[in-house]
Parts: sequence; structure tokens; C-alpha cells
Amino acid sequence: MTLQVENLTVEYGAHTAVDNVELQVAAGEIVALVGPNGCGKSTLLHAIARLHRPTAGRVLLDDVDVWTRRPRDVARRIALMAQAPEAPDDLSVAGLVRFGRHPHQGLFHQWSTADEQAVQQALAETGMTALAARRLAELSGGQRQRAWLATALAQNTSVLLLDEPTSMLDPGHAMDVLGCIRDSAAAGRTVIMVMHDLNLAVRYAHRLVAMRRGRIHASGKPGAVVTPALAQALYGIEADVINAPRDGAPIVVPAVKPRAPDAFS
Amino acid sequence: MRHRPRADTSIPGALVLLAAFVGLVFMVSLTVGGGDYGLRASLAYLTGRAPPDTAADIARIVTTLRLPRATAGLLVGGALGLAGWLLQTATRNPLAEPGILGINAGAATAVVLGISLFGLNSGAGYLSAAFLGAASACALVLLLAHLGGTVTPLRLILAGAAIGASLYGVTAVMLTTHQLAFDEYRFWIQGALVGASPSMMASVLPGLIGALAGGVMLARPLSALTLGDRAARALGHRPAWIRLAVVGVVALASASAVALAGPIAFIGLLAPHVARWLIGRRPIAEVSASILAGAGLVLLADIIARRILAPYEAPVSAVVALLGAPAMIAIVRGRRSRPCSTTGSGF
Amino acid sequence: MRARLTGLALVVTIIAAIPLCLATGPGGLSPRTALAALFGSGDGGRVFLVRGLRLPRVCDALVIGAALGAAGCLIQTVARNRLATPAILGINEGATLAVMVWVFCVPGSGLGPWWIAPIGALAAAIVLVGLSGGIGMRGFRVLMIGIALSILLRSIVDMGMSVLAVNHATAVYNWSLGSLLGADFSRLRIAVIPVTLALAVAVALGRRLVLLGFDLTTARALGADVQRDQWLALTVAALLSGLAVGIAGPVGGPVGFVALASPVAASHLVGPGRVPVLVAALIGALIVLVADTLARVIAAPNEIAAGALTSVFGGLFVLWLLYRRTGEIG
Repeated sequence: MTLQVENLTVEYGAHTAVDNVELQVAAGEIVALVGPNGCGKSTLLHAIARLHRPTAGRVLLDDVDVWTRRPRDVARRIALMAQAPEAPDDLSVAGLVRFGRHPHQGLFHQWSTADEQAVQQALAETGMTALAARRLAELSGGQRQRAWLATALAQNTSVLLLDEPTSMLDPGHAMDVLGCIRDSAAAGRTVIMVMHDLNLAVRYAHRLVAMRRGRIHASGKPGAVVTPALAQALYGIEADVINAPRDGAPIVVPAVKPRAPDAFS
Repeated sequence: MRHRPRADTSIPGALVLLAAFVGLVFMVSLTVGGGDYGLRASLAYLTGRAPPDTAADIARIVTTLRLPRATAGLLVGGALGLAGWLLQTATRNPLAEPGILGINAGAATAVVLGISLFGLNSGAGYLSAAFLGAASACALVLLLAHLGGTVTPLRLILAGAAIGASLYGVTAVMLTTHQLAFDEYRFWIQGALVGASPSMMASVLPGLIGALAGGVMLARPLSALTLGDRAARALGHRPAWIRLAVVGVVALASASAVALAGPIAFIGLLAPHVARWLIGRRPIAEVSASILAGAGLVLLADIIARRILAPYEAPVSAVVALLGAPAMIAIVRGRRSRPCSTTGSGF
Repeated sequence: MRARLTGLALVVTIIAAIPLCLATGPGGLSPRTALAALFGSGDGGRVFLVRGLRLPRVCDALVIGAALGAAGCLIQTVARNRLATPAILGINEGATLAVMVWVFCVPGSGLGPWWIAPIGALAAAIVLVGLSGGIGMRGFRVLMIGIALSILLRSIVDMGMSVLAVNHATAVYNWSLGSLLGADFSRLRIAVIPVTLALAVAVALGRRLVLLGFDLTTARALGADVQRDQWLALTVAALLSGLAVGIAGPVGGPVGFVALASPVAASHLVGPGRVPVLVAALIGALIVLVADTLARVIAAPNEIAAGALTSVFGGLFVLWLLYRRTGEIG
């Protein structure tokens, strides 16, 4: 099961959001997409999920172009967890996760034991079983994010796309969610996630893909890609890269410059 | 938006032009419509050059039929232009106006209830019933829109539409159960200036003058209110009193208009927009322009109503809606959800 | 499960209500004698009263109510606003205008064939979406422009009314109030087939429209073809409300009480995360049945148009919604 992105270009009118991107992701691999705001990470994710039609290039899943399939068929193979998703009012966690089975149900297809199993498994994998009856509005940010992750897992797809899965979370909850993601990759899923926190991305991703102005700026093992030059190129910051005492993973430490006199005027 | 110095008290040229235009439309309004005398004969009469054999006849038609009608148009339009400006400014919503917010419907329903339940038949009776109805509807819609914190433009419009529709139902129930009220109501509800008699106008006039004076006096404090309650208070105004006064003046103006000609929607919507377009942000000139624009629009619509389906007469309210609904669509399309900002710096 | 139980309870309620509605009104019938007369026993006058006069009204009420309830459910889901109804958006006015144009162009043919009103409704829906520049995921523009469109269309109807010959005008005016007085099977017999078909499509659509409760990205990621579903839903809703209007005028009232209240009540009954088209249709049927019966007795010996009655309730209901719910109505 491989995901192949070939020469993908996506344009919004005159603006090129994704520019000739090549990417291959194998089953079980976690790829973290990093880069500054507006560099095309989310657009790339949407294009892979068949939500945005590319101007050029293809997205192949098992050698089949996703645009030759119907939306529902794609949703059985690729799950996308959106950034800041909204659910119908008053929904419970279990109610939300059941929507993950929606692509698998037809007009006359009723709720089956397989559906129920997938839901229970997704709840268990994300540690949400005990909270299944809670309303979404009653959950903490981390719990709500795990409920959305469970929905994507219940879709039972081979590809999992995540748009900033941890951006709203404190470090503890972020690592909870990333742990769930790592486990589901270990079970054979292909995972691509957009991340802002370089240090977390480095720790959980097998491969880092850095984007800048719609193009892939660098790609490879986190330890090899993350350098002071990368921080400068992506975010325009001066930073040191040191190795973590425990596992040697690179850590980006921005250098705090003395404030320029007119910085905020 | 034009920036003008605070001390500018001159009368804008646009206002003078607008007044001249209203005068012109008023004169034209005297020359068209019922009777066998068209534009040329009527003009000849008005300029004192009519042949003696027809002069008396024309005089009868112009003074007994057309003059009251044109005067009614002037009063109704002015009142609606005033009410629309006050509502749009007070709610900061470019779509607020007595028709869409259900205030006209409140006045109309109260009149129908008065006719069928209490046997009202005097102009003063109509007017007081209309005032009560308009004031209740106006207070209710503003109150409801304010409940729950934020007043979005949509909430306000929906509250108004709901009140209007509900009152429409009440009216329909009364009319189907009280046969007597039906015929009288039928033409009046469609906004006819024909039915406005001089005695009716006389009974409405004091209230209308009061409303006009109140509206002009309210213009400046109301503009201060658009800066927010706290800022208005800092400027020495009392927001609650201003709002109460707005409800009173709007109700009085709408009630007068409804008592004279039945509910006419959209004049209150269009007139303030015309005024803002002509004048810019100067509260007193703007409200005056809105009153004039309302009067001009009603007179114009009444002229069209007399010609468009000749030999039949179209209801004025329908003609106004025909002009106004596209304008509303244009406003929604143009401004999207942005509320009308009246925090102008021109005063 | 909850939805099925609710549906079952509603069906039982409706069946129980039918004999009551048949018995209500002048004639001094009890539900038992009314039921007997329905099956042909009792004296001829009674049998005629029940079978010839009241049964058509009951059937009309059920069909109209079901159509309006389902249409309201679809439109509220598409516009994402609890106050969106075919009436508020001008779709009913489109149907009324089409009927009036027919009366104009083909004098002496009554109110025209059954399909003229749905075509008017559909045309109004298309104009509405065109003017709004698409449906979008936020109902704001569609609603505002719909309000303007409904006023515009109503004014054209008013103008036409003032020109129509008096007897035609009276016919159209009475019809435009939405009354089931004088209902017979002639219109219903033909309209019931398209209504049933459209209802079936609507119920099937309900399953997909659930995804419209999510944000656009999530809805599409879960496999929804959002734009197509919105168009389908709007089309079916316009057809349903047009058919309902064509049978007996806007019985739902100018604010569309039936189309407004049924989906809201249905959502409360079946719980969150569903688009309860079928339950809304059943509730709609029950509401119109009750409203028409009430309209018959509330001002006896006079009869009120059911549409007038429902519009009174409709306004109050909207006020209550505005008072209670802030999230769902913008």
C-alpha cells in the first residue's frame, strides 16, 4: 500500500499553492509536513484527499488516481482530520465516531456488527471508551481532538491525513494524541500530518518534509533535515539545533534576539 | 465617507436639489391619474392658462382627487423615510425598516382589531390603534433581537419577519371571521393613497409633525450612540432614554403612515440609503434628506402605480416592493454580513 | 432505534387522530359513528359528510403536512438555519405566482394543472441560488436574499391580483390564504404520486445530508459530495413545497409554520446528529391535520383558513426559537 504524489500543482486563481510536488509514502510510515503558514501544507493534504482538484499532476493510491474514484470510495481509503473541525450540535463522542463509518454505508446498508466493531476499536485505540457517552461540548481540548482522531480511525482507511492534530493542545495532551497516531501507523497505516511544532514532529515522524512557497524544500530523516539553516529558510529565525540528552533527537532552540526598537510599531 | 469640519452648518447643495426634486414630483403627481385631463391640460390649469370651459372641472379633479392624494404621498413617504433612518441608525443594520421589521404589520393589525372588535371608525381612532400596534411591535422586535447578547443583522431581520408574518395571520383570522371589516381592509392593506381623506390627514398631522421634530432632535444623540453605549454616555447622552425615544418616534411615524395608506414596505429601506449616498455622514442633513427621499419615492411610486397597469391602478405598496426588493438584494450582495457602520467622523 | 420508535409513535397518534378529526365539526358525530360512516354504515347524509366532505380534507392535510415537513427539514439542513423555510425563502411565493400566471394566461381553467405550482417553486429556488451566488455553507446570504425575493414575488402577485377579474381574484386570494375548505380528491389523486416519489427521495437524502452538519472539509473527507447534495436537497424541497402549495394553497402559513416547526420538533425527538426527514414529515402531517380541524371549529360557525391559523402559530414559534436558541439561527 503506497501513496504516490506525482508532479502535483494546485492553483487558486493566479496563486500557486502547491508547486510541482513529488512525494511517496509507504505503509506504516509517518510523514510530518512542516513549514511556515501559507506554504501549501494544508492544500497538499486536501489535494491528496481529493478535496481540491490539482491543476497538474496526480495522486495515486495503489496505482489508481484518486480523481477516478467517487468521493465515497476515496473516503473509504483516505481519512482526513481537518484543522478545527465542527460537528453537529449536541453530538456525543460515540455519535461522532459512528460518522466515521458513513463512507462504508450505502442507501440500504444498515448498521452492522463490523461497523460497531470498528467504532469500539477506534474508541479503545484512542482511550475514549470511557468517555463514549459524553457530549463533545463537555470534553477538554485534548479529549475532543482524540474523539476526532477516533472518527478518522473508525473510517478504517489505509491512509490517515492529519491537519495540525496537536496545535491546540498542551504538551501532555499533544503527546497522547501523537502516541495514538504512532500506534495506528504501527498497525500498517500511512500517515501524513501537518505539524507546527518541529520538536514534536521530529520525535514522532519517520520522515520530515519541509515545504516553502508550495515546493518541497527538504525531505528526509528528521536528524538529517533539521539544521539551523532549515529554521532560517522556513521561518526566518536564527536557531541552534542540539541533541536531546535521552534519545539524541534534534531540538530546535530559537535564539532570542534583542528586540529591535521598531519591531512592533 | 466625507470628512467635514464640526462647525459646518451650511445646508448641503444635495439637500436643496432633493427638495426641488420632491417639489417637481409633487407637481407631476397633480397632473396624472383619474379624470380625463392629462399632462397638458393639467399643466395649463396649474399655470392658470386653462380654457375657461374646462377650468372648473379640472379644478375639481385636481383639488378633490389629486391634491389630497399627492399630499398623502408626501406625508406617508416622509414618515417612512424618517422611521427607516432612525431604525437603520439605531440598529446599525442597513436592512432595518418598519416594513421588514414587522412594525407596519403591528400597526395594521391593531387597526383591523380595532375595526372588527371595537368598531373604530374615526381617523383619531385609527391612529391611536395604529400607534399602539406599531409601538408594541417595534419594542418587541428590538427586545427580541437583543436577547441572547449579540444582535446579528440576520437575527433582527428574522425577528421582524416572524412578527410580521404572525400578525398577518392574526389579520387574516379577523378578516375571515368579521365580514364587515374585509372590504374596507382589502384595498387599504395594499397601500392605497386614494383612501386618504383630508380629515384623516388633519387628524394625523399633529402626531406626524411631532415625530418629524423628534426625529430631527434625535439625529445627533443617535449618531453618538453608534459609537457604543459607553462612549455615548461619556459624551453626556443617556442610551436607554435615546432608545426609548427612538421606539416612540418610529412608532408614531409608522403609525401615521399606516393609518393614512396601509402598510408600505421598503420606503424606509431605500430612503436612508439614498440620503447617505447624497449627503454622507451628517446626522441632521442626513435625516432631512431621508425624509425628503421617502416623500419623493412614494410620490414617484404612486405615479408609476397609476400608469403601469392602466386602465387599472396597481397598489402603491406593490410598486414600491418591485423597486425595493432588488435594492435589498443588492445591499445584501454588496455588503454581505457587514453591519451598516454609522460611526461616521463627519460630526 | 430512537428514530424508529418516534416514527412508530407518531404513526399511531395520526391513526388515532383521524376518527377524531372526521367527527369534529357540525353534524354531531362521535368518533365511533364517524368511523362507522367512513366504512359505509349509518344514514346517507352522515356517510356523505364523512366520506365526501371530511375524508378528502383529512387526506389533503396528511399529504400536504408530510410534504411541508420533509421540505422544511431539507431546507433547514441545507441553509444551516432553523428559520429557513420554503415560505421565508420565497419558494412558496414562486408557486403562487406560477398559479396566478396560469390563471391569467388560460382563463376559465380553474387554478391550472397540478404541476404548475411545483414548477414555479423550482424556478424560485433556482433564481434564489443564482441571486445568492451559490448556496454556501453559511445560510446567511441565501436567507436574506430569500426574504427579499419572497417580498418581491408577493408584490407581483398583489399587482396581478388587482388586475384579475373579480371572481378570479377572489378564487386566487382565498386559495392564497391556504384553506382546505372544499377539498376533494381530484387534485390530490394526481399529486399524491409525485409527492410520494419526492418523499422517498427526501428520506434517502436525509442519510447523506447528515454530513452537512460538519464543516466543509470534514464533510467532504467523509465522502460527501456537498454541492451535489445541497442542490438535490433544494430541488426536492422545492418540488415538495410546490406540490403542497398546489394542492391547497400555502396551508403552512406565510411564515411556513409546518415546515419550520416539524423539523425542529423532529430533531428534539430523535436526538442530535441526524436529519430526520421521515419523522419531520409525520409531524408535519399531524400538525396540518390538527390545524385544519381547529380552523373548522375555533370560530364556528365561520371557518378560518388553516394557513391563517398556522401563520399565527408560526410567528410565535419563531419568537420562541429566537428567544431560546442563539446558535442555530445566526
